[in-house]
Amino acid sequence: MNGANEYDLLHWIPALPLAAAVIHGLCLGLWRQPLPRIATIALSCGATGLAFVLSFFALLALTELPAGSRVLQEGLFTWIGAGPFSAEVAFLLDPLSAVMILIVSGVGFLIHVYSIGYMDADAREDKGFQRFFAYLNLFTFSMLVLVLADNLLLMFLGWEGVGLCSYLLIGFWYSDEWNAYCGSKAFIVNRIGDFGFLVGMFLLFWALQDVGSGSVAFLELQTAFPLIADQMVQLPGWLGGAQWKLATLIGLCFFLGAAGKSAQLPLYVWLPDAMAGPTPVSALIHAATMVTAGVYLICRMSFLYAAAPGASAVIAWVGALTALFAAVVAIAQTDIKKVLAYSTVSQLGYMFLAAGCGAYGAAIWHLTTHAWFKALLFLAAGSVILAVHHEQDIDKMGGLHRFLVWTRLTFLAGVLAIAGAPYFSGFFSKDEILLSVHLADHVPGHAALYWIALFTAGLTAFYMFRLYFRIFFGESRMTRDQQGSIQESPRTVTIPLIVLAILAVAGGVVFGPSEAFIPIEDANSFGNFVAPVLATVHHEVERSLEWQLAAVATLVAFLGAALAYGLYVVRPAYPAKIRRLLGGVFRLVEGRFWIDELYDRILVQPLVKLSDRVLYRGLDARLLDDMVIGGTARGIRAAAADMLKFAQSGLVQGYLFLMLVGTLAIIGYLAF
Amino acid sequence: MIPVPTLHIVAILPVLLLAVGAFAVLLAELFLSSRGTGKSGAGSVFVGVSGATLLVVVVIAAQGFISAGAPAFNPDHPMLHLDRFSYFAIGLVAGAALLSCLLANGYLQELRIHHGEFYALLLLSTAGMVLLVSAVDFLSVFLGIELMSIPLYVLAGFDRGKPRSNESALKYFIAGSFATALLLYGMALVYGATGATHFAAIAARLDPDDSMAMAGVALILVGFAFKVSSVPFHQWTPDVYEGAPTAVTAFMSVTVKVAAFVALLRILAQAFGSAEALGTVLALLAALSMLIGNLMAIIQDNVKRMLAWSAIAQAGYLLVPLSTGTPEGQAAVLFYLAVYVFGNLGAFAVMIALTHRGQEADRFEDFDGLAKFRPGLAAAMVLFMVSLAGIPGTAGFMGKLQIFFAAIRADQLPLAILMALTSVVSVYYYLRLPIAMYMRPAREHPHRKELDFLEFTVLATCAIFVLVLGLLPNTLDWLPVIDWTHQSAAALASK
Repeated sequence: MNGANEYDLLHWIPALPLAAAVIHGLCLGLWRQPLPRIATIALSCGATGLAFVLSFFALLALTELPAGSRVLQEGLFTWIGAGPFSAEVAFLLDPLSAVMILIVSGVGFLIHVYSIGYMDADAREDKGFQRFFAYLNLFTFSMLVLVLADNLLLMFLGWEGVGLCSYLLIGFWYSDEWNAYCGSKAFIVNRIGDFGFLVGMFLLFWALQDVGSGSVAFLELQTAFPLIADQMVQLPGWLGGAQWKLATLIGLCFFLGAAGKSAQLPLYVWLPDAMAGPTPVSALIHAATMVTAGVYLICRMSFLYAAAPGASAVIAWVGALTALFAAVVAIAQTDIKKVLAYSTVSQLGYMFLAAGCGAYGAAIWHLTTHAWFKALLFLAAGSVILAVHHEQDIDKMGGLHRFLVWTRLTFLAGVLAIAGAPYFSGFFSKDEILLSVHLADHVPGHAALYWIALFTAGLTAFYMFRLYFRIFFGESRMTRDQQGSIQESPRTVTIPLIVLAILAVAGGVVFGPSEAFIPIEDANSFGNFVAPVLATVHHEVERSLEWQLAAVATLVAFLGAALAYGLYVVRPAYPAKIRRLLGGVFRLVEGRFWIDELYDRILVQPLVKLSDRVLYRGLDARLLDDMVIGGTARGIRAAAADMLKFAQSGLVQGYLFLMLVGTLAIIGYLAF
Repeated sequence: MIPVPTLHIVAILPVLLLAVGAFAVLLAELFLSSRGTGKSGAGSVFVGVSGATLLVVVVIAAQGFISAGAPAFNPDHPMLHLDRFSYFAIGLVAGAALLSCLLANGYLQELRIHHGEFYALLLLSTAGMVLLVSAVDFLSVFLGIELMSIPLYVLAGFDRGKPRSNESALKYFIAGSFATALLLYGMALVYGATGATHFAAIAARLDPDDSMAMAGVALILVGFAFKVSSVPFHQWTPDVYEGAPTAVTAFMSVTVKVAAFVALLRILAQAFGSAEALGTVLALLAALSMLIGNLMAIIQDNVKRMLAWSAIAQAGYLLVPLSTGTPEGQAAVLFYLAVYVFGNLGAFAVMIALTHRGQEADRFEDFDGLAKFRPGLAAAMVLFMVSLAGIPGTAGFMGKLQIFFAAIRADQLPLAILMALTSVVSVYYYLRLPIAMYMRPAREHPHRKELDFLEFTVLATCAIFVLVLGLLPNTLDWLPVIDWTHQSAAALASK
């Protein structure tokens, strides 16, 4: 395989979680008896933990190679070989996928541990506990396949796998119909994106086949792509008939896929509803890993986007608008997990903004820090939810800092990180994005993009501190009974919180500070590590500019935080007044701009009616079932009624007569 | 001085073993009933003896296949030829007989007709099939076909107390005798025209323009068309399938088809190679069988009758590659026979597993809502139906694919298209059972019998083979079924 280095431990990284999932599945499906609690935990956490250890060794093996050629591969077998087309089941480890597998298995492992405590109630009641861990392992496997895949098709397998697991886990408590509905919604919205992914893949394959390359492997795509980079295509008449650059078209298709998976406008609607799943799921799938798959896809295909400025601009703008839109909506939400969900959508928007501006390294860096602090925030929120007996409305919390010491401290760490407090992890990644947007003069309207991003940073600080103050400060808005039973979560919950909090606080400084802020020799190690894989647009940066931008961003974030402090701690009566003052505008934001209702009215309902009345009742039931199939059977029955008597008369004489006729006919044909 | 011929016992070892096994069962019956041993104890002896015999035959066949054949019993006057082709067929026939014999134990007890004769007859019939598939002389063909058929006539009427079973036996016997008479007359005519009964000698002397010889060929073809239940020699099939005890139907529906098709393959390839007009006749039979079998299956109310018409349609599919006469077609026939054995036997096994206290589950209503009570059985039935219908992922699809390609390569495009179309029709009736099991409300269910171990073994074996043949027909190193069929077809040509 291209003479690249073989590393034959690679397949064990996804294989371990898969094995655990299979064992769980066999126990539940065949044996119909859940494993003991402790065995379930050992199996699941052990598999994911080992996967993390292996990922770490793989990273070490990778860093031993010279910086320019850090690629490890392992081919297992040829999956599909059809004519010129071939797809291998093979894994590719380069700095980009190395970062991803460490996040997936590392954060995944912490969340597995956390789930032991969080899902404890399910352990005592039924076999849902093991089912949960089976899904979690299956998810980890799929996600690892997604990021380790050496070709688009295998990546799509993982892509679909994580979608399936997301569906299963959102609807995990399926006896509540709403949860099942949310699961379906996530799955269906993702289908729209998957369609884009597939079309993009087919277009790319089709174009490359013309120049004689029949592979969908990333390394070969990358080599062959320049041959078609400048190809133009004529769109069909009903699509406008214009000449488009092929790369742009393919890029947009892949972005549609990415937007579905990563909840960008206009396909973000499923993510807030996905919060119906258990909180560890929200942390793992809907914050740290799966939803970032879209960003990963764009970065993985960065060689394509570098040649498709049109598509990149679309990505940047969609990302920026999503970031702004979701941050605005987050301000008015009162469900703790909804706030975090919109915050995730907003942060993902940041990542796309960076990727669209050609700063793929910054996107991946923010993806990494976001995985730490957003997983932390979700898990801390889960700890709060657990403490207040599955109450999620922040209007019914308040004053919790006295009871939940560890939860509160770790939550604060997450809030500071996401708000971009200096030298917290989010600070470095967000400033890198702001810097790259500021410099991205090749993107139309990059100045506006910068201001949007900056304003969103302020909003982020505001709504995150609002959340923090509403939960932990002020007068308690709970009944005395409820207050009495509040206690800190068990250790399996708090320890992952502390580990993640350390990462959220110090991860930025340790792994990849910009040398502008920490003048050491090995600065920006993260960026340098992933850079060779990415087609990043480079700019000369002056240190003073970096300082200025950081100062401005910090100031804006501080203003946001200060505003939240003023409104929710110093003058708690003001928010209600402002709400009245704003009236309709506030309700619009609180109702999330009624986008869901709009989609429901103009897309879902008409489709449901179409399929129910026309397709099901008309086409399927009446035409196909009744007329075509039933009609055929009735027709044959009627037509054969007479023949039937003869054909199945039961009289041997008749049988023998027919045999004789047949015999004579054959003799006649053969002999004469 | 008369030379003493060198005899190779190994060539007739399977037949000998089966005969000895049959007599052992009969003797055991005699002693066990005189001592008044409980029926179930006797049953395990019968199943044990006959199962072990059949298993040994399967092993001998496998061994023979690996060592690429055995010498003829009497090389001076070869009546049987044991090449890879024969051994593949012997293995398949004995394997199917083994599975049928495992199924019979519980079923016969439920019907209170558990006698050792059943197993003796089954073994004798299998011995006839072994003779038939290795015969290279019309004398041994006739011997084989009679040894195969006569026990089957008896078996069809094995449930003596039931008029249906008697009727079935009688009809099968009369129609079968008629067909055998025609077959024998055909052999006589061919002998008259060529002066030979040995395939190779006939092939050398057969003149396609000689009316007498061709009339003989036609009659022989008719004899086999009856055995494989091809239209228009098919009409006994639904009556006999319905009336015979299900265990017998299961046995004969698969083994007779294998034996007769394999013998026909050899006769066409080694004796009647020069009669090219046969291809047209076979194609016509194939078309008629596919059309009538599939259409008639739609309107049946009884599952066994539906499966009988389906067997007729399946015979049509098998005649398609047979009519091509190419090695690829022959390999496709062998592969599809294997596919058919497991799919069809599996379907009957489910019906047998549902038989309870003399009550057969052979109406569609008997399957209503079954998925709720017996999810495993229902799932297995779906698998077998889906395979018979030829839906991708199952053995049936892979088998039809082989036939399809063989037909297209041999320029039999119309037949291939007709096969594809009639297969689509067949989905309608094959899916009636899954629909009944999964979508109809459950009735009062009398079928509460637990699956016994033997039934489970048979069902699992069939299900595994249906999946393996459908998904990995040539992938497993130790089970390259497609390679085997091609090696067998090659053995056929080398003679």
